[in-house]
Amino acid sequence: MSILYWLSVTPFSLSVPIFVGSIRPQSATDQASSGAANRPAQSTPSTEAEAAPFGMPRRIEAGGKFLGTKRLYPSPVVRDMNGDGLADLVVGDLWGKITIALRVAGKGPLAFEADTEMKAADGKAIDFHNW
Amino acid sequence: MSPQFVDFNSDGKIDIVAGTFDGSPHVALGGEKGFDQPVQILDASGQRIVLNRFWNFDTKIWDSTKRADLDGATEGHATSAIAFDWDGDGDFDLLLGDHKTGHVYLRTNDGTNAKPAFATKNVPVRAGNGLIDVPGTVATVRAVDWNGDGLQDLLVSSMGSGMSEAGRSGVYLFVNSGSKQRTSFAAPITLVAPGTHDGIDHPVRPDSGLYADLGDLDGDGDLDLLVGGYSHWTPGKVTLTPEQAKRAEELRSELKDCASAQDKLNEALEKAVGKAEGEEAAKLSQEFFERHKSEIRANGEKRQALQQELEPLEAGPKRLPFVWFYENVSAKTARDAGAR
Repeated sequence: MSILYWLSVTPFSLSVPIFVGSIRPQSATDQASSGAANRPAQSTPSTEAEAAPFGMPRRIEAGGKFLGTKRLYPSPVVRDMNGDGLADLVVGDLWGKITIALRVAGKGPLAFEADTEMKAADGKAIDFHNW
Repeated sequence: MSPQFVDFNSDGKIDIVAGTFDGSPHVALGGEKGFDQPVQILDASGQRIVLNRFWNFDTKIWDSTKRADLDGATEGHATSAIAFDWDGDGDFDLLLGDHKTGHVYLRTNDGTNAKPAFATKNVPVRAGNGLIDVPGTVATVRAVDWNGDGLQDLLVSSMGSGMSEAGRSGVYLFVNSGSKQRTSFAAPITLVAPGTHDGIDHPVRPDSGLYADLGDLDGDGDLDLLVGGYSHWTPGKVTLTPEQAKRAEELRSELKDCASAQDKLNEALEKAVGKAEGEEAAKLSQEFFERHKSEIRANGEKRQALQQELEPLEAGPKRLPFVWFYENVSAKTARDAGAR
């Protein structure tokens, strides 16, 4: 059993990725076979985008900086968080922290203030505790 | 961790449901003063809801169980979860996304929202003619009414690969073609197809680790697509001013110092674990980390800061996460056509 295995399956492989090369949340046993060959037919999507009425992707900025660049696997959610009738962006991440980027009124649909940490009722950052 | 804002316990206050990398769904209940800190959602027998793999908080190791398998043949890791009324009985069931495969699993609720009783087994969810199976493993699941028919559809985005490979991260929509009482997902529609980053010299699109949501971000009445995801690119030639070149040298030298500090920690760790194997090795390495936590963290953070500053000054492949906005242009297109 290599020492890297134990490192890769401890929290530190992600919090401080200095011992292992990858920051992908993956363990040494991720590649293990899962008996997929015996499974029933799969519903696999097409590899081409279809019926997708979307324009080209644009990177969102908040507070003059690209949103999400300092996060590990940012996960955006659209929601009006301050009740001003404008959709804001809520961003989760792999650690289980949440930030909120509020829409700046009157500056067009893609103007956001810098995101700030979402707090729980106890005054601490809300923390979807991870391992 | 994609947060779902939903009144999970039907007390009139919005709660937050999310799966996390520990392998279980969580809920942060909303109250008068805001949200409580999240807790795990348990099944009808009071046990943690998991697929197979989970972080064992007692033994502090990655653990695995078959207790929730229907067939004993799965190997899953639930890192995303949503509340979803699968059978129209007015309470929330749970859908779990698997980070190890492209499958999605159901836990029905035989109780109520105020007093849930989630099934103790994971039932794989079907779509079209087979099981849901998105390429690149599930990063996250979201519930959204895409076509405005009053039924919740399922948005699934996939993790894909890390640094080396591309072409496995996409965003897929499973339209609910059933009824309120009988959810039935149609074969998936590909909203964002996996792409390649070969020959890309600046960030143009998310390539891996996709976390998507649909919502009307620009307030024009249709659903836009938001995607958190890593872009991979390799810049062309990087031209530096003399000051930048000097700074790059300094940064490289400081990074070397970080690397030797890391080597020393590695050596110390190997010594601490010695010839131990299995759980003993895990215990010893865990103890080592506890003892050296601040040192390890400080060195890691320093390294990250140095790398972040050095990255734009160097050529070579880049990888950074962004939040991407895909505007829904269908309504706009229709309006423009009408105006003509």
